[in-house]
Amino acid sequence: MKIAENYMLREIAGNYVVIPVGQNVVDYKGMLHLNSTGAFICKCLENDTTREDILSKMYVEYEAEEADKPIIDADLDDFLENAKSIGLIV
Amino acid sequence: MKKYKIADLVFGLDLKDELLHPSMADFLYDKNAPVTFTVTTDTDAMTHADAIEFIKEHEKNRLILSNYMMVMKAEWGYRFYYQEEPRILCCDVDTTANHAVIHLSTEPVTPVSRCHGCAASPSLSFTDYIFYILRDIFFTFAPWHNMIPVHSSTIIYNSRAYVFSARSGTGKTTHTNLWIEHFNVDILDGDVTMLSLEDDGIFAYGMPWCGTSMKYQNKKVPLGGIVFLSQAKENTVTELSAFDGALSLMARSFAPTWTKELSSRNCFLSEQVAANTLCLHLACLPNREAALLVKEYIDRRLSGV
Repeated sequence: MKIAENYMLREIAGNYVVIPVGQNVVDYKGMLHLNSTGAFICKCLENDTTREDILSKMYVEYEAEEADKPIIDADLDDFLENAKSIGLIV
Repeated sequence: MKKYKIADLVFGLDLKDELLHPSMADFLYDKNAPVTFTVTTDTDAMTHADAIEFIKEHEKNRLILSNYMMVMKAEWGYRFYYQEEPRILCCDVDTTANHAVIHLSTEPVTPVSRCHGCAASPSLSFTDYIFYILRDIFFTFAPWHNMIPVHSSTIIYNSRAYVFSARSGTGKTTHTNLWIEHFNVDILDGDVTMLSLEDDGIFAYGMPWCGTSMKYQNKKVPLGGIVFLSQAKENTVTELSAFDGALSLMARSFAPTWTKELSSRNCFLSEQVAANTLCLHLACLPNREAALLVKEYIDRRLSGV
């Protein structure tokens, strides 16, 4: 999976946003302001990847202990579910 | 070919006088500067059937379809279609040759929509359509010359431009009329202002495409600030961060965002303008106190308080 062609991740003034492109600008009329975790996940999704790949990168990024992993897993699943619901990832 | 200078862009335009919108006369340019791009019309190169065929053959190259226009990607640039004016077959904007051709029909054609789902625009005359196609061509080239068109009503106060921007129907014109009425300011533009990033600062230019306001000046004014308006039950003014200013500006920009490259350009220019400009959010009522609140904020900033 990856970020859909009609969305784009951009850094603006030190913040990460997902902006619509092309027909999506006409249809969606909005932007997504990401927190640091959302930005990290979206950077992973700029290239074709898998849930497991993203998780392993997040474990490293956040120096996850075993106890942290279920929380990170749930955060990622929430993000991916929301992202899929608006067509952000394909 | 006549030359025109709008904002800081000189361009050549070969168009019959009867097709030229009267506002363009205020932007005629008679100096010896090179043109950035040229625009011509053609009645021979294409038929109505050719224009339709291109849409069918290049369906996957469609970038946007709005209730105003359709944009297709081509190897050489972009092709615009205007659905409700059948005498305009299409407009080809060659971004590699910096040249645009408006293809006009001489055939008797039935006035039916060529882009399904498009709304009729019965109020636009043929000359109006040509005028707005020129705007679309201009806005396609402008971002690559560090310019960003903003949906706004702009006043000149203390020799600086203050851009009041909001979505249609919020009250941009109502608010700037309050400034005119109570603070005796001049208006630069009533609907679209071009912001230009130049070596010696950021400037605002009045544009001929002024919507229903009929107000514009062919003038360059240093940018003083941008005020994003929203309606509210009480008046409050808040200074925006560079990030919030950039997002607000992107949302009100008329720069094309048909591709990732164009969207990136819009982001870049918005970010540059917002980082170097006073950006405010004014939640307001349509009253004198709202204008006074912003004016006093600007005055305090100008006096260094």
